Amino acid sequence: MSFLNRWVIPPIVILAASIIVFAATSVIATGSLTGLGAVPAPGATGDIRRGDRPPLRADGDREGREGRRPPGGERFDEREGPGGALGIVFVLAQGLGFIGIPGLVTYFGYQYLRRSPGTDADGSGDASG
Amino acid sequence: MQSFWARIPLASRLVLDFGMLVAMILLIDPRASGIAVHEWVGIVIAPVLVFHVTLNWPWIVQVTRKLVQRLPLETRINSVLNSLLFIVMVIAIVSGVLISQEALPWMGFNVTGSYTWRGIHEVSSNFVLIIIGAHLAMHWQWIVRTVRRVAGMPTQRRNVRTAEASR
Repeated sequence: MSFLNRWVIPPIVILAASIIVFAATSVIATGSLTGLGAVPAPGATGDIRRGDRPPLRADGDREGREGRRPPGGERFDEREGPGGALGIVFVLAQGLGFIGIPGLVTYFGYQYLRRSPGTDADGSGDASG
Repeated sequence: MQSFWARIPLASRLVLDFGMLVAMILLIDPRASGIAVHEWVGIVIAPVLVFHVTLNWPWIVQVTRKLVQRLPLETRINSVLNSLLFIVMVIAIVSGVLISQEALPWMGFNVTGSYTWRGIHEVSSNFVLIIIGAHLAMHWQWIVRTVRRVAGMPTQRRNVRTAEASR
């Protein structure tokens, strides 16, 4: 495999595939190819929901960071985690939960599937070939 | 030149993959890591993802060519999982960029920050974590073998056909 085929074409294909995935998501979700056509939820303009960033004004300024913040409102990052050693434990526990549980289910599920009678584990019985 | 690039050491691949896993764990809770760290790690992981896929490109080409032919169950599951993981990771990264509060404004870009993209980011990120768990599980044997090989321990490769025949 040449250098071009190994290290130049693959990233280009990956980036092209990424653009297609993004464009498809954008069209489905926002009706716009660039994603910039996304509009705030109905009634959301001018209002700042708890935990949401303020909307942008037409001139590009961010309004309402301080003055129009509703009582109890906060930016996304203002609510902090436990921090320190407890924070690390907290993040690790979440990592184990979010990644570990699906991982364990998949691992044992696959082992069960592979050992099930009639399962074509090595593809040798596939009629499509 | 080619021989060097064609033979990226196994240990480097393992370190790269482990680094991606650590980064993904860091990305789970932006409130624990801080939004700036969350965004920068998310941005850095994009080229790392491209590199990771490029490293495994020969496998992708091989499987794509044989897509309609006989393929082992493991390969079929992996191809579906990997495709899904790629799609949801692209969606999570791009939607994350579009709702950036720190990194992109710091670079001078104003982004929409719409509720739509925030919702998409949350849903796709959760799917990324679930599929990464499955991706790790499906590659667990490779991980164990590679760690053993890198550590200089004897590898215990299990032959599926032999194991099936022996039962």
